[in-house]
Amino acid sequence: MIVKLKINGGRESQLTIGEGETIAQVLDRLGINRETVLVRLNGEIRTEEERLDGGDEVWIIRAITGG
Amino acid sequence: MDCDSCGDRAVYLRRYSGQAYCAEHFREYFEGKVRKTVHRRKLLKRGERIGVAISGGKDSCTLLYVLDKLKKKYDLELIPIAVDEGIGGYREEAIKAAESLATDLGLSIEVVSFKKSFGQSLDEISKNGDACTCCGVLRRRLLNDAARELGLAKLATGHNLDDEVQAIMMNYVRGDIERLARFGGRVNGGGFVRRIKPLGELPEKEVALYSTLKELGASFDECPYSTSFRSSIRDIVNDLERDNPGIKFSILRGYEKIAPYLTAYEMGDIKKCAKCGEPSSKEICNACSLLEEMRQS
Repeated sequence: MIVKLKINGGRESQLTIGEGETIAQVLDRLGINRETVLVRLNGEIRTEEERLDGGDEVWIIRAITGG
Repeated sequence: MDCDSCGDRAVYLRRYSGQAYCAEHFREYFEGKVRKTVHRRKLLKRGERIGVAISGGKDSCTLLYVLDKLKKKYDLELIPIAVDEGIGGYREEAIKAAESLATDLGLSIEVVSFKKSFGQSLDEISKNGDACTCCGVLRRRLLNDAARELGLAKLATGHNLDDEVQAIMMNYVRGDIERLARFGGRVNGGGFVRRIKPLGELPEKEVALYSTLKELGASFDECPYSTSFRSSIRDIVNDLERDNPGIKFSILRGYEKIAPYLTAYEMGDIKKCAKCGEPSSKEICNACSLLEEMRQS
């Protein structure tokens, strides 16, 4: 299955995911700490526990800033 | 995942308590947490004139928005104060966001700037020294000046739990126990306007979520001068939190337990700076020392 992925408003890319994979597992795979981001799934803010389906749009937004 | 309170789709799982929230119940939880913090730390009294330091970032915009909700209960007068440090490509947009939010809330904003007050922007000042240190010293001076000139009882800042924990950890690992002892806003009187941190028990991620759900139009940009040391501590603490939910609160509570034993390290009597008359622990305050260095460079 393939999902559409966008990180911090950057370019959209595609990511192959496994059956029943969650947002948290994808974040781990990408080396992104879940404590530092918010995630929009198909436009809506969702928890990292959501399971992904093929064609989903996953937007990862940096929530932790400095200064 | 569904909201534990109503069964609607959840927007947030508070991992340190295991509770899931929909947008509406998250809002209720968040505002309740601010009210509890204000009550527990005795941050507000009825009828006070409160300055709100606002940068246009998510933390200070959220702070202004939630304090506005408490305005009626405490009969508060809120004065948003924005400091324009002069950070090209960063602060201009954020100040616009701050002004826009203040206007939406029917509040009049005070904007003070490094350039007007000190003759140089932070971008200019930072050519001769560490930007973060200079910024901290001069911001404190400007905000304290503005707070006294405006006759404010207190000055609220948007520091969240992550900021508090990072500051505690930075002081620990540097062995700077004097600074650790001063931490927490316990230095009052002597010309210092009391600082309050109503978001001090809310994780940064929760502040970001509230600001996003409420569409406050706040900036999520990172300050270009953010230091690598603080970033390192931030990463370490967030890695610990990911693997041990609730550890940020443990660090804060641990600090609160040892704080009463740190009085031996606290700042001595507050004097007046020989140059400007501002409160200071030294003969010449940090701001005057820095301004003198700027003049000589």
